[in-house]
Amino acid sequence: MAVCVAVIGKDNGPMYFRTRQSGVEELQYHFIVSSALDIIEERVQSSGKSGILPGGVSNPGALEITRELYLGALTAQEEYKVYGYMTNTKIKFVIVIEESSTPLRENDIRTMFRKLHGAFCDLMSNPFYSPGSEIRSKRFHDVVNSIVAGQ
Amino acid sequence: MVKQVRQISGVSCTVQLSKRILSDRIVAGTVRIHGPNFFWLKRRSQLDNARKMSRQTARIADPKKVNSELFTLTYGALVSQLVRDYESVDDVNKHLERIGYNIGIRLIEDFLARTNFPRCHDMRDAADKIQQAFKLYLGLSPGISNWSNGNEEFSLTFESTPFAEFVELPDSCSNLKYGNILPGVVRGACEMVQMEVQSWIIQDTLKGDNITELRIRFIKKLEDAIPAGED
Repeated sequence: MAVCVAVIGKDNGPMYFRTRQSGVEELQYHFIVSSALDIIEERVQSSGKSGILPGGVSNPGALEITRELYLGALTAQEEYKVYGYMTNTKIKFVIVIEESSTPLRENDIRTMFRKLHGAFCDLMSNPFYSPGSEIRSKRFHDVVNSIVAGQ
Repeated sequence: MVKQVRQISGVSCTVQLSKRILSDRIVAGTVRIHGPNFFWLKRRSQLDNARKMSRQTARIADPKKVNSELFTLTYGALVSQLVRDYESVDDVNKHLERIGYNIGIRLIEDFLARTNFPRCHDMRDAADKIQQAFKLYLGLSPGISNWSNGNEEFSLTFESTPFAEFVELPDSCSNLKYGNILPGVVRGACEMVQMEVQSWIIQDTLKGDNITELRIRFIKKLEDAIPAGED
């Protein structure tokens, strides 16, 4: 059950932040997402150092050739798990999942990120949206609602 | 110029080097001519490559067709730049209509050259032709409806307009008529065939309606029509 969805820009500034219910808990999720950013940077740097060539042959010391966008589980605590996804334009999506009785499969998480990425691309195509600014689009909001509520 | 060439290439070029090689040499800058024959061979192989490439690209994509997303994004960039340049939204609407008018007066020539339709007898004919023009240029099939009593006024209804995809109007521009270029195109095109019409947008999907509706009203037939010109 996704409790928090965040979109962070390429300069690590927040673009969009949404929690399942707003209130006192929101501050906690801000903290969780910010600490997840460090892990994302670490993950991306390490995958860049040992670049994976297409075909699966690893090439230590190579430049970043292809990097998978989905970064997987970043951190996990008793109550929640944090998943990350970074596009090639350095836009980061972070989803915080609450641990529940029915654990979500990795495929479901990938689907959520794919939907987010699609909604983000549509948002970018809006001529009245200036890239890097706060996201106020109703359409994007609806997609995030469906992600948060869908699971 | 010929003397320079001789010195650089070291090969004795004849004085009768054609003018074209010389001009190419000047344009190309650092291209070296080893002799007129070599240069011609090089040019010919370049032409062959270009021809091969164009054959390949013709298989991949018709060079005359443009990706619709590129068109949508271009139009969006145009409108958002106008909004930034002009203070008032009404000014933007007026300018969009004028841009459409300028497009329309030119587009009608292309339309008539492609389709070769005969003269329209009345507005019903005209409506039919306008509908076909939309099909030809935008790939849309608008419906014709809401004829007025005297058959002088009608509506074109669009399920969706291609350039309004992905667009969300911000609150500051709630009066913006995003697709206002279309009425301008219709007005400009009709003026060039001696019909004065008035056209405006009634419903707009961007403002929450289900369809986009464009209303066209016939005012009068023009005699000795000279286009108003760009003001």
